[in-house]
Amino acid sequence: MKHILEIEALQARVTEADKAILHGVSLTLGAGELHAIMGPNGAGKSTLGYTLAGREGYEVTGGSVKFLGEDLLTQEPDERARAGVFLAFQYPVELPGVNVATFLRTALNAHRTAHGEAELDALAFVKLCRAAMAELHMPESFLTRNVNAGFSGGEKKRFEILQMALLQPRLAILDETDSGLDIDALRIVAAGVNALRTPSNAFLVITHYQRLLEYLKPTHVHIMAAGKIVRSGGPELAIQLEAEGYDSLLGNAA
Amino acid sequence: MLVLPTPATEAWKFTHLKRAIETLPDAGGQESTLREIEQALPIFAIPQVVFHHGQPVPELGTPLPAGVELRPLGAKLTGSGQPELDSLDTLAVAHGWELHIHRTPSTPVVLIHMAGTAPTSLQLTVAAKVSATVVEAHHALPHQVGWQHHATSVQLGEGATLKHSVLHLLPDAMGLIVTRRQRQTLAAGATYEGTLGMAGGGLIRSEIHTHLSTGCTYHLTSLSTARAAQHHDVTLQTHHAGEGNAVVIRQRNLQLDESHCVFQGKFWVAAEAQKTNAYMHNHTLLLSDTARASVKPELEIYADDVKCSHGAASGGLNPQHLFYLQARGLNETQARALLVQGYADEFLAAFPSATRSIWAARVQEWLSGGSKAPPPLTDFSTEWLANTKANPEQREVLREYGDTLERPHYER
Ligand SMILES: Nc1ncnc2c1ncn2[C@@H]1O[C@H](COP(=O)(O)OP(=O)(O)OP(=O)(O)O)[C@@H](O)[C@H]1O
Ligand SMILES: [Mg+2]
Repeated sequence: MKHILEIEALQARVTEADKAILHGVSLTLGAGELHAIMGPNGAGKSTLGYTLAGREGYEVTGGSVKFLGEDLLTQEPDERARAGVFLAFQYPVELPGVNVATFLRTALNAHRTAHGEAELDALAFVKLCRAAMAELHMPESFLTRNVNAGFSGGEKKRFEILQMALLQPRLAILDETDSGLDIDALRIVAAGVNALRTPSNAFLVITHYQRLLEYLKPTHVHIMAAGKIVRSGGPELAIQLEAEGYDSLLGNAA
Repeated sequence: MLVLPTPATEAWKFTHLKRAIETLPDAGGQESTLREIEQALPIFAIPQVVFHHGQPVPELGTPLPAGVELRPLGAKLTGSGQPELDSLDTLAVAHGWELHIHRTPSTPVVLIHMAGTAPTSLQLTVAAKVSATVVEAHHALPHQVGWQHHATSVQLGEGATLKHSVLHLLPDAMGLIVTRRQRQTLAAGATYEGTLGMAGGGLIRSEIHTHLSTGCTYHLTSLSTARAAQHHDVTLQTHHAGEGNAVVIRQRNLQLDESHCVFQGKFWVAAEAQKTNAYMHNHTLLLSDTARASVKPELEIYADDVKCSHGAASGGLNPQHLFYLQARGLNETQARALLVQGYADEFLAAFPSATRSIWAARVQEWLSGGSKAPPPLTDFSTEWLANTKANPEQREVLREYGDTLERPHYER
């Protein structure tokens, strides 16, 4: 079966920090799988997400990444996105004056054009968007606001999931989408993620908490520490981690 | 003989008017026909007066609402009590005009100034307790070159409110020079809500000299879009004479190519002007390495119980903002355009609704390179959304920027 994502001994440095952060990460995501990545603060989880999304300043110094069988690392960030890679940001960015609806429609139409589909006019777009917002219990008034401007922490995370729902990626990387969510919002967001799972896409979910994973039922759980995957297992690993903590589970590996 | 200002004068430090005028290309003596002017007019769906060479063109005017009267002013503007600034104040004007608003009109009014070469003078008078919206739009025919100076006086009576929008919507013609000096006096409790927009031309300088008595409100939102070697200058002087005036000035430059934008802002606060609350901010978005901005804020304060401050920021687009958009599939050109549009939209929101689609279309044109027609953008407003619900199948509810409105019916 074809893999969605194959990461081989990936090494990366953050140029701004002038520091190597990823020290040989290997990870393979098959179609239909949901992998959770856990790990202490500063382990390099977000760095992995940014490196996969192609952010400037995250320099690959070794290893390879294939997405749907193609070299991902030679592609520009926007090409990766249109090819089906989606990163839900740990800290979504406020865009002054950029209207939410215009932003969503432009992103959606960029994807549609890349896949040879006709652009959606404003009315068709709003119809589609309304349905997706209803699923996530987001009031329509968000469409008239500016991207992330004045959104609460939880609203920003919900908005990331709305974007994912509209763009229907083949690979979604969710970076701490659960942090900042209240109990109801967590359930709604988890339901939103589960609704998008198909046998032909894959999820990489970065989280610190078992609670989200109870809803998402991951197929694989990995623990990352100091720029490497140090333990891998099934859902039971997350439960064990919650009970024991990193210190006792990883010993001096962390 | 007229001695034109040069950077030797402090107030003209960044704008070399004399050189610009002396190096103007030859006008070639081409006169515009009525038909040409009519074709070039922007379409505002509100009552209008069209001026050419500073004189109203009766064939192109539409009836003004009750309470608004246009009448001759006499040979020269009477001063605002301030000392003369420079030779521009001595320019001879044949016939000045006054727009006299003595009762709150039912609609906004637009004065369209088609560029010519004769200096003009205009007075806007708003009587006590009257509220009005006046748009002044500066336009030019594509072949127009030369310099025109506009002397404007704004007189607001006690408790009067004027929403005043001055739009320089000139073609991208380097041979067009427009200078504008607006002197305004606000009587006690008056409110001036100003918006100033600049696009095109070779050199534009818009000055606003404001005299505030007591308890006045003065807001100004100013947006300049410059490209090529265009030079846009916003120079503001605010004289706080009495107590309790509230002032907020926000100015933003969006600059491409090797354009040069100037912002000079001065608050002068008299000893009597206690409880003054005044703020000005300038933000410059430099979209090329060769664009330049000159910013000079000044405070001169003689009262002790005041809040006066200024701020400024300049730079290019934020790489984090760009990456967020690219991570959603927008290519770099699309991402930059959306961000720049956002910076414009933040300010466009302050402009009167009668001007917004025209001004927004002009910003799009500036961004997309001038000549080619910009792609329409939908203005996803609350009303628009409500409308799509009320008429789900009715495509006409789509309101796109740059929609064509009906030309007014001119009475001949
Ligand atoms: N721009 C930067 N400048 C300096 N240090 C950086 C920069 N970006 C990342 N780092 C460092 O790289 C390391 C990994 O950071 P990263 O954000 O990937 O951690 P993380 O696993 O996502 O942590 P958290 O759980 O707190 O989100 C940290 O030590 C961080 O300080
Ligand atoms: Mg992180």
